[in-house]
Amino acid sequence: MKEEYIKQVSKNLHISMKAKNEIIRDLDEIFDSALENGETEQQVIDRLGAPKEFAENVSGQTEKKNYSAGNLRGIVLMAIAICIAVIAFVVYGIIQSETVPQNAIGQANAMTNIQLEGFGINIPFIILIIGIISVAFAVFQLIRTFVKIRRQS
Amino acid sequence: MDNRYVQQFKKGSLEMVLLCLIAKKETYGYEIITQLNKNGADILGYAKEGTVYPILYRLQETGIIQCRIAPAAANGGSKKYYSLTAKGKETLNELISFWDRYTDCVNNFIDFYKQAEE
Repeated sequence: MKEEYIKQVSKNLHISMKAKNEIIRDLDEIFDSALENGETEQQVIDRLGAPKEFAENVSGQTEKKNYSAGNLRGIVLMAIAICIAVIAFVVYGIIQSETVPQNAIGQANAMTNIQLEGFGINIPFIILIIGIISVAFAVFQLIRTFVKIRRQS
Repeated sequence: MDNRYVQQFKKGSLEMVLLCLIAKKETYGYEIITQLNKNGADILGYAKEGTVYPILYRLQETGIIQCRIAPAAANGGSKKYYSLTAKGKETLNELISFWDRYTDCVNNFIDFYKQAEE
Protein backbone atom coordinates (compact mmCIF):
# COMPACT_ATOMS: atom_id res chain seq x y z
CA MET A 1 0.00 0.00 0.00
CA LYS A 2 2.80 2.37 1.00
CA GLU A 3 4.95 1.30 -1.96
CA GLU A 4 2.04 1.74 -4.36
CA TYR A 5 1.29 5.21 -2.95
CA ILE A 6 4.92 6.33 -3.28
CA LYS A 7 5.04 4.93 -6.81
CA GLN A 8 1.95 6.92 -7.76
CA VAL A 9 3.37 10.12 -6.28
CA SER A 10 6.66 9.55 -8.09
CA LYS A 11 4.81 9.11 -11.39
CA ASN A 12 3.17 12.50 -10.95
CA LEU A 13 6.34 14.38 -10.07
CA HIS A 14 7.66 16.20 -13.12
CA ILE A 15 10.83 17.55 -11.57
CA SER A 16 14.55 16.79 -11.55
CA MET A 17 15.68 13.33 -10.48
CA LYS A 18 17.43 14.80 -7.45
CA ALA A 19 14.32 16.62 -6.17
CA LYS A 20 12.21 13.54 -6.88
CA ASN A 21 14.47 11.25 -4.86
CA GLU A 22 14.35 13.76 -2.02
CA ILE A 23 10.55 13.68 -1.92
CA ILE A 24 10.45 9.88 -2.13
CA ARG A 25 12.89 9.68 0.79
CA ASP A 26 10.70 12.07 2.79
CA LEU A 27 7.58 10.01 2.03
CA ASP A 28 9.38 6.92 3.26
CA GLU A 29 10.15 8.74 6.49
CA ILE A 30 6.54 10.00 6.79
CA PHE A 31 5.23 6.43 6.62
CA ASP A 32 7.91 4.99 8.92
CA SER A 33 7.42 7.68 11.59
CA ALA A 34 3.65 7.29 11.53
CA LEU A 35 3.87 3.50 11.81
CA GLU A 36 6.30 3.84 14.72
CA ASN A 37 3.66 5.92 16.46
CA GLY A 38 0.97 3.34 16.01
CA GLU A 39 -0.74 4.64 12.89
CA THR A 40 -1.67 2.35 10.02
CA GLU A 41 -0.57 2.84 6.42
CA GLN A 42 -4.20 3.53 5.50
CA GLN A 43 -4.40 6.33 8.09
CA VAL A 44 -1.29 7.96 6.63
CA ILE A 45 -2.63 7.67 3.08
CA ASP A 46 -5.95 9.20 4.15
CA ARG A 47 -4.10 12.16 5.65
CA LEU A 48 -1.74 12.61 2.69
CA GLY A 49 -4.61 12.68 0.21
CA ALA A 50 -4.58 11.60 -3.43
CA PRO A 51 -1.05 10.86 -4.76
CA LYS A 52 -1.50 13.29 -7.64
CA GLU A 53 -2.59 16.06 -5.32
CA PHE A 54 0.32 15.45 -2.94
CA ALA A 55 2.75 15.44 -5.87
CA GLU A 56 1.38 18.75 -7.13
CA ASN A 57 1.55 20.31 -3.66
CA VAL A 58 5.19 19.47 -3.11
CA SER A 59 6.53 19.90 -6.63
CA GLY A 60 5.36 23.49 -6.81
CA GLN A 61 8.01 24.30 -4.21
CA THR A 62 11.06 22.82 -5.89
CA GLU A 63 13.46 24.12 -8.48
CA LYS A 64 11.19 23.21 -11.41
CA LYS A 65 11.02 26.77 -12.75
CA ASN A 66 14.76 27.34 -12.55
CA TYR A 67 15.28 24.15 -14.48
CA SER A 68 13.22 25.19 -17.47
CA ALA A 69 15.01 28.55 -17.44
CA GLY A 70 18.26 26.55 -17.45
CA ASN A 71 17.07 24.59 -20.47
CA LEU A 72 16.29 27.76 -22.36
CA ARG A 73 19.72 29.19 -21.58
CA GLY A 74 21.36 25.98 -22.81
CA ILE A 75 19.46 26.13 -26.09
CA VAL A 76 20.34 29.82 -26.61
CA LEU A 77 24.03 29.12 -25.93
CA MET A 78 23.90 26.21 -28.36
CA ALA A 79 22.33 28.40 -31.08
CA ILE A 80 25.00 31.08 -30.58
CA ALA A 81 27.75 28.45 -30.79
CA ILE A 82 26.30 27.05 -34.02
CA CYS A 83 26.13 30.56 -35.53
CA ILE A 84 29.75 31.26 -34.62
CA ALA A 85 30.79 27.88 -36.05
CA VAL A 86 28.96 28.50 -39.34
CA ILE A 87 30.45 32.00 -39.68
CA ALA A 88 33.92 30.69 -38.82
CA PHE A 89 33.74 27.89 -41.39
CA VAL A 90 32.37 30.16 -44.11
CA VAL A 91 35.11 32.74 -43.48
CA TYR A 92 37.69 29.95 -43.39
CA GLY A 93 36.39 28.59 -46.68
CA ILE A 94 36.52 32.03 -48.33
CA ILE A 95 40.06 32.67 -47.14
CA GLN A 96 41.24 29.23 -48.22
CA SER A 97 40.02 29.54 -51.80
CA GLU A 98 42.27 32.30 -53.04
CA THR A 99 40.29 33.46 -56.03
CA VAL A 100 36.97 33.73 -54.23
CA PRO A 101 37.38 37.05 -52.38
CA GLN A 102 37.63 39.01 -55.62
CA ASN A 103 34.81 37.22 -57.43
CA ALA A 104 32.35 36.15 -54.74
CA ILE A 105 32.41 39.32 -52.68
CA GLY A 106 31.64 41.97 -55.22
CA GLN A 107 32.48 44.93 -53.02
CA ALA A 108 35.75 43.53 -51.71
CA ASN A 109 38.57 45.93 -52.51
CA ALA A 110 42.23 45.33 -52.93
CA MET A 111 43.07 46.36 -49.37
CA THR A 112 41.11 43.49 -47.89
CA ASN A 113 42.84 41.10 -50.22
CA ILE A 114 46.31 42.26 -49.31
CA GLN A 115 45.59 42.18 -45.59
CA LEU A 116 44.29 38.64 -45.79
CA GLU A 117 47.32 37.51 -47.68
CA GLY A 118 49.63 39.26 -45.27
CA PHE A 119 48.28 37.28 -42.31
CA GLY A 120 47.46 34.30 -44.45
CA ILE A 121 49.29 31.77 -42.36
CA ASN A 122 47.72 32.53 -38.97
CA ILE A 123 44.20 33.88 -39.44
CA PRO A 124 42.62 30.94 -41.32
CA PHE A 125 44.07 28.56 -38.78
CA ILE A 126 42.69 30.60 -35.85
CA ILE A 127 39.28 30.88 -37.52
CA LEU A 128 39.25 27.13 -38.12
CA ILE A 129 40.07 26.54 -34.44
CA ILE A 130 37.27 28.92 -33.38
CA GLY A 131 34.89 26.98 -35.63
CA ILE A 132 35.91 23.61 -34.20
CA ILE A 133 35.64 24.86 -30.62
CA SER A 134 32.17 26.28 -31.33
CA VAL A 135 31.00 22.98 -32.79
CA ALA A 136 32.39 21.11 -29.79
CA PHE A 137 30.64 23.55 -27.43
CA ALA A 138 27.36 23.21 -29.35
CA VAL A 139 27.51 19.41 -29.12
CA PHE A 140 28.32 19.65 -25.40
CA GLN A 141 25.34 21.95 -24.85
CA LEU A 142 23.09 19.65 -26.87
CA ILE A 143 24.02 16.65 -24.72
CA ARG A 144 23.65 18.62 -21.49
CA THR A 145 20.22 19.98 -22.40
CA PHE A 146 19.10 16.55 -23.56
CA VAL A 147 20.18 14.89 -20.31
CA LYS A 148 18.49 17.63 -18.26
CA ILE A 149 15.19 17.33 -20.11
CA ARG A 150 15.26 13.56 -19.75
CA ARG A 151 15.86 13.83 -16.04
CA GLN A 152 12.93 16.16 -15.61
CA SER A 153 10.36 13.97 -17.33
CA MET B 1 -15.33 29.48 11.59
CA ASP B 2 -13.76 28.27 8.43
CA ASN B 3 -14.36 31.10 6.05
CA ARG B 4 -11.89 32.63 3.64
CA TYR B 5 -10.53 35.24 6.10
CA VAL B 6 -9.74 32.64 8.71
CA GLN B 7 -8.05 30.49 6.07
CA GLN B 8 -5.86 33.43 5.10
CA PHE B 9 -4.83 34.06 8.71
CA LYS B 10 -3.84 30.44 9.16
CA LYS B 11 -1.95 30.31 5.90
CA GLY B 12 -0.03 33.47 6.74
CA SER B 13 1.01 32.41 10.22
CA LEU B 14 1.83 28.74 9.62
CA GLU B 15 5.30 29.50 8.29
CA MET B 16 6.15 31.51 11.37
CA VAL B 17 4.78 28.80 13.64
CA LEU B 18 6.91 26.22 11.83
CA LEU B 19 9.99 28.42 12.20
CA CYS B 20 9.32 28.80 15.94
CA LEU B 21 9.06 25.01 16.34
CA ILE B 22 12.26 24.41 14.39
CA ALA B 23 14.08 27.24 16.18
CA LYS B 24 13.18 25.85 19.60
CA LYS B 25 14.79 22.50 18.90
CA GLU B 26 16.12 20.52 15.95
CA THR B 27 13.16 18.47 14.85
CA TYR B 28 11.81 16.16 12.12
CA GLY B 29 8.64 15.96 10.03
CA TYR B 30 6.46 13.76 12.18
CA GLU B 31 7.42 15.58 15.37
CA ILE B 32 6.50 18.90 13.76
CA ILE B 33 3.07 17.55 12.76
CA THR B 34 2.51 16.09 16.25
CA GLN B 35 3.53 19.33 17.95
CA LEU B 36 1.25 21.36 15.69
CA ASN B 37 -1.69 19.08 16.39
CA LYS B 38 -1.05 18.92 20.13
CA ASN B 39 -0.78 22.66 20.61
CA GLY B 40 -2.81 24.20 17.85
CA ALA B 41 -5.19 21.78 16.15
CA ASP B 42 -8.31 23.50 17.50
CA ILE B 43 -7.20 26.92 16.23
CA LEU B 44 -4.86 26.22 13.32
CA GLY B 45 -6.71 23.18 12.05
CA TYR B 46 -5.45 19.64 11.78
CA ALA B 47 -1.89 19.68 10.40
CA LYS B 48 -1.09 17.38 7.49
CA GLU B 49 2.13 16.44 5.72
CA GLY B 50 0.63 17.73 2.48
CA THR B 51 0.50 21.22 4.00
CA VAL B 52 3.69 21.20 6.05
CA TYR B 53 6.17 19.62 3.62
CA PRO B 54 5.68 22.13 0.79
CA ILE B 55 6.50 24.90 3.29
CA LEU B 56 9.56 23.00 4.53
CA TYR B 57 10.80 22.61 0.95
CA ARG B 58 10.31 26.29 0.27
CA LEU B 59 12.04 27.35 3.49
CA GLN B 60 14.95 25.09 2.65
CA GLU B 61 15.14 26.35 -0.92
CA THR B 62 15.37 29.93 0.29
CA GLY B 63 18.06 29.10 2.86
CA ILE B 64 15.93 29.76 5.94
CA ILE B 65 16.20 26.21 7.27
CA GLN B 66 18.73 23.44 6.76
CA CYS B 67 18.54 19.72 7.33
CA ARG B 68 20.71 16.76 8.16
CA ILE B 69 19.79 13.14 7.64
CA ALA B 70 20.39 10.78 10.55
CA PRO B 71 19.62 7.06 10.76
CA ALA B 72 16.41 6.32 12.67
CA ALA B 73 16.83 4.27 15.81
CA ALA B 74 13.93 1.88 15.37
CA ASN B 75 14.17 0.69 11.77
CA GLY B 76 16.56 0.79 8.83
CA GLY B 77 15.19 4.12 7.67
CA SER B 78 16.40 7.64 8.29
CA LYS B 79 15.06 10.88 9.64
CA LYS B 80 15.60 14.36 8.32
CA TYR B 81 16.29 16.82 11.11
CA TYR B 82 15.55 20.46 10.44
CA SER B 83 17.24 23.45 12.03
CA LEU B 84 17.36 27.18 11.37
CA THR B 85 20.22 28.72 9.43
CA ALA B 86 21.77 32.02 10.56
CA LYS B 87 19.66 33.73 7.90
CA GLY B 88 16.63 31.84 9.26
CA LYS B 89 17.18 33.10 12.81
CA GLU B 90 17.43 36.63 11.50
CA THR B 91 14.27 36.18 9.42
CA LEU B 92 12.34 34.72 12.35
CA ASN B 93 13.33 37.61 14.62
CA GLU B 94 12.23 40.08 11.98
CA LEU B 95 8.95 38.22 11.53
CA ILE B 96 8.27 38.12 15.26
CA SER B 97 9.00 41.81 15.66
CA PHE B 98 6.68 42.57 12.76
CA TRP B 99 4.02 40.26 14.15
CA ASP B 100 4.11 42.11 17.49
CA ARG B 101 3.65 45.47 15.82
CA TYR B 102 1.05 44.02 13.47
CA THR B 103 -1.12 42.52 16.22
CA ASP B 104 -0.78 45.73 18.31
CA CYS B 105 -1.98 47.74 15.36
CA VAL B 106 -4.91 45.44 14.58
CA ASN B 107 -5.81 45.20 18.27
CA ASN B 108 -5.92 48.98 18.43
CA PHE B 109 -8.54 49.07 15.71
CA ILE B 110 -10.49 46.37 17.49
CA ASP B 111 -10.33 48.43 20.71
CA PHE B 112 -11.61 51.54 18.89
CA TYR B 113 -14.52 49.51 17.65
CA LYS B 114 -15.25 48.00 21.05
CA GLN B 115 -15.16 51.41 22.76
CA ALA B 116 -17.55 52.82 20.23
CA GLU B 117 -19.91 49.93 20.84
CA GLU B 118 -20.02 50.50 24.60
